[in-house]
Amino acid sequence: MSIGSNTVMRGAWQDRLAGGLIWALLGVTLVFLLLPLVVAVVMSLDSRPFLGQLPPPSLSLQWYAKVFTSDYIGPSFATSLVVALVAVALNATAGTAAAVAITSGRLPGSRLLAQLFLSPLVVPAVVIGFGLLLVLARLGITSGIGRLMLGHIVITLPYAIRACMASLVGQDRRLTEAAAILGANEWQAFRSVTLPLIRTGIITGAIFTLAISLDDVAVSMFLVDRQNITLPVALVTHMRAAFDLTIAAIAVMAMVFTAFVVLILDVTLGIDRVIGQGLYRSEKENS
Amino acid sequence: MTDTLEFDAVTKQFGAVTALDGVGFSVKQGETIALLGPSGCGKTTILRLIAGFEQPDAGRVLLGGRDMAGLRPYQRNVGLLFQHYALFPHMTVAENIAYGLRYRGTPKAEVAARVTEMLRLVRLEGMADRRPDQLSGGQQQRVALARAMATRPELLLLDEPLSALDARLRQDLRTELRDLLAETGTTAIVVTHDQEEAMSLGQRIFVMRAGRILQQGIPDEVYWQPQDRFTAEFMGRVNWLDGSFVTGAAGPVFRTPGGWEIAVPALPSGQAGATELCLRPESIEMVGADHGIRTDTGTMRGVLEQTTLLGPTRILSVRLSDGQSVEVAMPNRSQAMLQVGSFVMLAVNGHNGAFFGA
Repeated sequence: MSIGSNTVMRGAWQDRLAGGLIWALLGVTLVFLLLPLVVAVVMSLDSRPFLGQLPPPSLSLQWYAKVFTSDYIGPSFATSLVVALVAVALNATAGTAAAVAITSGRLPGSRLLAQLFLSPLVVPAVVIGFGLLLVLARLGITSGIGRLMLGHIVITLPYAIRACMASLVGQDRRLTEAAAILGANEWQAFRSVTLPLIRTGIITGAIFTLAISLDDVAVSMFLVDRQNITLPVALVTHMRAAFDLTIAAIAVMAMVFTAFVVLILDVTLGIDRVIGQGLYRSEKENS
Repeated sequence: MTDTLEFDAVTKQFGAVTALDGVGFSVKQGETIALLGPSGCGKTTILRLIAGFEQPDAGRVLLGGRDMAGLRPYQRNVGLLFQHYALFPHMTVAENIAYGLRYRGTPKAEVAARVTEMLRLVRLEGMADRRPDQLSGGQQQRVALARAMATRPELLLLDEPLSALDARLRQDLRTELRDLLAETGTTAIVVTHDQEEAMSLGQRIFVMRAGRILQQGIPDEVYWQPQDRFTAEFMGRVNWLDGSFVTGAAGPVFRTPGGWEIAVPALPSGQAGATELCLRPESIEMVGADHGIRTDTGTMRGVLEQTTLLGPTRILSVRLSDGQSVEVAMPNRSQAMLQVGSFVMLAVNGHNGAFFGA
């Protein structure tokens, strides 16, 4: 037997082993990802008023009913929603403007600015929350809702800018030059050429903003006050104070809602595009 | 009548690099000029200054007699065909063409009529609702041209208009483009690094290098009478013959060290010390095999060292008996006698030569 064929043989079983390991790893990952979801669903249907062993002896919708009857969920959800929507609105406008300015190449120090704008991504949320609390107190901003809005903008803006920059980078600068030489002023060129081409980036940024803002506990914990509590903070607080599986019910409802949103996005825009760089580039790749 | 475009001693710096160094020229109405030069010679900067993407550091750019200083691109009536077309990918062909009209307050009915007219002009009828990515390169180029011309600009700028196309298509579109510019009476500036494109499209050629215009003139003049080595070599293949200019029995001649004499129209006047004759390969003809009979004025002898086939023409490399090497271009017809290593007789037409000092 020649050495060559021996090597080929060994390569073959090694490949098979590697392939098997990858599949096993995928399987384990999937189980660890899905198991908590399954547990949450089961727990949300638990009929017992205490945390017992799984599976529960009987099922009930009591925790779902409690979501709609309890007095703290409605207001805190409203607070969360207002804060998230303000963050989305500001990110979609100011974030887009920042991304356009940074990628234009005409702004001095744009690289430094880009780093600064993206730095909240690497600073731990607890640090941001605590730091914000101190700074805002110094500035005299003591209202919970104001603090929450500012805090959520700080933690979500990097995602919005990043998503927008990704779709801008793929764009040909000559397109805006073409618009200008054809007679469109800066604003008209932005409206008719840049904006349609980075739409996907803005939508992606908005989705990230919404998701992160609605989900945040670590930063919000420092910024809430008695009148303005976000839903995640309220849930955590209540679960500590008294045993309450409403959190599981809400988790399941959020899951269903998210799945619905993803489905809609996939049907209308294509989820790979939303996650990917931008409408124009992915269209080119697809064709 | 005022010129459509006038460059008045324009200088433009990018950091430490001087892109344009006091460039001045003018373009008459209805004329097509070609800015020819290697990349980095400043030709694209000229185009960007006219478009208003850049502002001159010194000097003036006048369009139709008006100083363009401080005017934004959309305040000028200039059309621009981009090298890679820069079509709006999210718009149809018709929307692309109508774009400029939209922002110039053209009435709706007139926009539709103009789009139809432009589509006919670039022979893309029936493509109005396609998107740019559904078109071939040549079709995209035509849409870009239609878009640039739809607003009837005072001046049309074409940035390497054909360089993104393959060779065959480039030749077809070159003719088409020239006819279109003539038909519409458009004043145009073609920026290119391709001397064939410059000669076929430009009624006048401006050869550029390092931020300056070296020479300008009609294509034949620039091709046959280059005023410097760079222009001579940039315009096409060229031979440099060493020798001296003397007055022979029948008039002025150029004499090579090997004793060959080539009749020239006149002795170089301005370039007193001229010692080089610049000859295009097609100014030399291969007469036939050398039988060593005679040495007339205008003939040279040498050994055929190499032949290179370029389709319609064949380039012969001949080592003259005085050691100099020349390239001869001949129509690719008879190849039976072309034996490498054989002695050949050449006939030289010195009347198309240019002179250079050492």
